[in-house]
Amino acid sequence: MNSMFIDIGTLRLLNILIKSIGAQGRRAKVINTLDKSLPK
Amino acid sequence: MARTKEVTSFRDADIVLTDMDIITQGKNVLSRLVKELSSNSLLMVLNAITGINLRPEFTKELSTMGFTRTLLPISDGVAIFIKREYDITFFKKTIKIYRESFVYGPNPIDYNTAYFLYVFNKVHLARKKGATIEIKAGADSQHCG
Repeated sequence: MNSMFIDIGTLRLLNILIKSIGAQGRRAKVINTLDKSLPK
Repeated sequence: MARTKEVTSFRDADIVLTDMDIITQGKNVLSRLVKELSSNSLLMVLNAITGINLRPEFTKELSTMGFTRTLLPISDGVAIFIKREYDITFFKKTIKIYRESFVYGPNPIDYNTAYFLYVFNKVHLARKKGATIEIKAGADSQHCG
């Protein structure tokens, strides 16, 4: 059964990548095709 | 969690987050991705360990379309794809370092770790010119920027 949430390991990796991409007020642009939302 | 902006166009996206079920169910998702995804953007596929074993043609197809892959053992497996952009010099240097590592050390790192470093460097350096990334491996270290 699929969980409703993205697991913590994947979120940590995603966070590293998003922080690396975002700079000087620019936010990383993400397409989320999953049926799970990203935490705000 | 760092703040993100959700977009709908593959052309604008820095990261496309998906899983193997979505990729394999909707055939035009993959072809759109290949055509429209920017060369410095990455495709992150969840549930990849079982997904890739069940559908090995998926990674082969992406590979022939110019993508490189790293498979990380996080949760059910996270595969990250990015368009390959290295010339013959990069390839020759990689082989030279790999061969010399057996003689001088340190031991070669795992294939997936090496490709993750490639993905991370490409994503980072494409957006922050002049950044320095230091990679420490054992007693040796390398800079790229």
